[in-house]
Amino acid sequence: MNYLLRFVIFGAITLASIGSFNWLVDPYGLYWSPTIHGFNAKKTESSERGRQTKGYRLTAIRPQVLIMGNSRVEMGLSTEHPTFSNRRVYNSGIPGLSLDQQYARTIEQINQNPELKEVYLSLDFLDFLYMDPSVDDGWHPSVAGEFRAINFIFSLDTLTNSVSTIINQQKLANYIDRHGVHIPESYQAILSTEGIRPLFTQKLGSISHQLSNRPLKISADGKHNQGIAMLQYVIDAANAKNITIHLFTNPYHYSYLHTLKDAGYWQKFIEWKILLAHLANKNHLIITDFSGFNKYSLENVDLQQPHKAMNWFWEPAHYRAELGDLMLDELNELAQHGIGRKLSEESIANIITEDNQNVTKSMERWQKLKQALLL
Amino acid sequence: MLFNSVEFLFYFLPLTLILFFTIAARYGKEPAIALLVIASLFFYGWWNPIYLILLVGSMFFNYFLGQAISDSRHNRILLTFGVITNLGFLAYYKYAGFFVTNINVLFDTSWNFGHVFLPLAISFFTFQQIAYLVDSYKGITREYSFLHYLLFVSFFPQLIAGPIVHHKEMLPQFSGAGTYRFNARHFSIGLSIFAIGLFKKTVLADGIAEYANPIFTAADGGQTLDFFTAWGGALCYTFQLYFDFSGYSDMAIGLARMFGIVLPLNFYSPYKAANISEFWRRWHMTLSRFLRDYIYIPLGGNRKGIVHRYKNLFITMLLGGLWHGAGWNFIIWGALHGGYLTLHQLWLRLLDMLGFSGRQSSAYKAFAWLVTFISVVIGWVFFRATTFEGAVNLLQSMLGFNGLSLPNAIYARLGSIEAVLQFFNITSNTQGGAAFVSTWCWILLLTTVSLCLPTTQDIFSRVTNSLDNKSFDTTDAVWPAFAVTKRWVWSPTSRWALLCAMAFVLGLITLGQVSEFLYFQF
Repeated sequence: MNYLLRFVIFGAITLASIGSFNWLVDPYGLYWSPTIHGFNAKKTESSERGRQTKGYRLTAIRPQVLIMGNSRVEMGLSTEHPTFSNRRVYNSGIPGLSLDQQYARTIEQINQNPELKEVYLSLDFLDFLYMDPSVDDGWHPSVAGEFRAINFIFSLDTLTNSVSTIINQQKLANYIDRHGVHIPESYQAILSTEGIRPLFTQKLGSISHQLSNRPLKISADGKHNQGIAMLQYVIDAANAKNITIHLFTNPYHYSYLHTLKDAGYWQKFIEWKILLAHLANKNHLIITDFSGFNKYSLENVDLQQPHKAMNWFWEPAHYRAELGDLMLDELNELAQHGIGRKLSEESIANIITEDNQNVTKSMERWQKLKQALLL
Repeated sequence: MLFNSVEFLFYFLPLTLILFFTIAARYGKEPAIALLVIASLFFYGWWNPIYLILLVGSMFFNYFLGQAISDSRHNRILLTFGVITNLGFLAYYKYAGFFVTNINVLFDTSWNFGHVFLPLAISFFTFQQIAYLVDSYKGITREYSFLHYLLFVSFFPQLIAGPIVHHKEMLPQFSGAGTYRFNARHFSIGLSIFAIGLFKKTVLADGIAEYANPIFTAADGGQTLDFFTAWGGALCYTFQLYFDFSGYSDMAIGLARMFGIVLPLNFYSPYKAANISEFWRRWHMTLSRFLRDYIYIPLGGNRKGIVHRYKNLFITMLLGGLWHGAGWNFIIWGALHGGYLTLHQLWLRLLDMLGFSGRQSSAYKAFAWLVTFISVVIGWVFFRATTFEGAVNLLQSMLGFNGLSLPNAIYARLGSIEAVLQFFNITSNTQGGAAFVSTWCWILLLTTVSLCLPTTQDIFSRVTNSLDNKSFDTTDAVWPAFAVTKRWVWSPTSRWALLCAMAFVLGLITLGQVSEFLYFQF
């Protein structure tokens, strides 16, 4: 047979084989083609691709309940919680997603998904910090990036990730499940080999570095913040469509809160809560604050047993789904665990006093932990 | 337009090929050449049509000046005028900003030259045309057809990043009637060479690039890097550049071959070289040829004694460095290689004086290869870093000035070896273990590929890959798996069709992440 003809036939076969293989393994959890335990059930390459793939999944699933935020909710809020039973729920939390994109994606779902009934929107302090918070030229939500599913099927990156997905099935590796929840197994791997210390030193060091290098602000005049202004758009959009919106701040380990304080951000943290309290009153809605000191956030870091996981946190910035379940209980008033506080103009003074007292009370404990971590 | 882009592979190339052979069959040679010139100018103008003015103007100027030089029989004034004009344009577009910046630093002035856009490929088409003028002056070549001249300069497979071709190499091929008939054999060979080049560029070069770029960015940004990270970054770039340029050169040769044109060889396994002179006989061979013929030899070459020879070598390499870019790092890189070549000559003299006869032994070759390779890697640090400080920062780390450390994830898994590491003062760091492992796996893989496998010149040696007749050449080089790989010679069999088709498809499925060739910036 003619060489060129063979070249074309072999090329076509190769291309079709790659496409079929990538579709079958589905390393990013885009299509949820048939899953086989030990072969492709754990989408171990999906955790870094949420930005590209979760928008596509939202369109495919059309959830009744949407969870939105950054990596904290992506790992922390389980879609298996009883409050979601018999409803299509999707966790669209994405690591490092800017506030602008979080809200743009939420508004897109509110406007384009007629099935949507409820939104759980997390509020994260660092997302509301700006170099120049006085600039506000209005906001036009737009979701970045056009998604082309074919690019993922016929892609060398996908091919290598398909192979590594198969190889890593038996390993402890992060992955995103079919409901968008990030299962952070790599924490278990790190705990079993390196222990808990690097999880704390790396995270606290990185937050400290991130904050101390830039003079970030919440507000120029104590009243305005671009993030809050964008959030108002989301609230208005949800109200217009009669969609229930649950707003809540994420819990942090006390070491995280002290790192904020050490970097000079405690007053800004308080200022942020005041702005949220105003927002709650203005819109007659509930904003639940989980970012205070309580028995969960004050969980002990046992460096004597470095390979043992903590009960409520993976590391200072990320809470476990066990804590997320308690938060969902409180948000839905199924039970009270003493984690959340309702932010309002009436409650804010007490919350500030409580937080200031607790940060002082836990100072000695923080100093000891810092010494032990060699920070 | 990039060779590794959808618009080139799916629109430009098929359309140009179909039109070329159809027009050649129906209307003959000259209209087909005209079509190829128009296609080449379209290809060039795709980036920015404004660049076309300079390219076309330059071709007009040089063609008619070449005619005048040929007619005048050795008119040195015309030649000097032509060379100065060409270099003047090159100097204006490429070096004026650099020159003014340095004047300002030196004399504390604040001259502003404004921002001059560097026209794509100006270094390549300028050198090619200077060579044409010199060859016209010497009576080596003469072009009677303006259309042929336009194709000689603008032929799209070699226009952007070489090979730098001589007029006398191309003219007979453009004139031959066989070029204008579709030839399935030529096309098969060209497509197969192109497929391998596409694979080298998109899979290998772009694959390793993601491990090189962050390290150089960090070094340029003043970050302190440990020993292994610094070497990882430098070696990754070493292989990125190799497979980028090797891939481009294969693609250029393959594309030209689809049209029935054989280009000169530009790249021949340079990392197998066991001395720096051999390296330069294998890396960017057509540039080395230009520098030798039009700078080194006119400077006196080796005809005026040893001292002059070394001086000429050094000046030639310094200018070679400057040719690559207007920056001190390129000058330092050129000077380094000038120094290397001089040292190598001195070393050979010393060995001769000592009566050393073991230069062909495996041990000596391995040692010589290692020294050569490390020297080349050090040179690439200056070549890639965007600042002098960045290059020095990275080199300091490569020398261990900033300590030796391994990612904690790896360190914690080493068990009893940890004590040995501590003895050598190797500590742990918080960098990612997976990235570290990937970096060194890539380095290991591409070291093996570049040292053990034959290059396309060898693989296609039976079917004339290029105008050079090198094949499986081990002169002054190491080739660890020579006995096994010397049989890997292309023939139009199913096995080769499968391998080349797979390479082509793997290259194709990277098109979503198009990246430019590194040599386009020169």
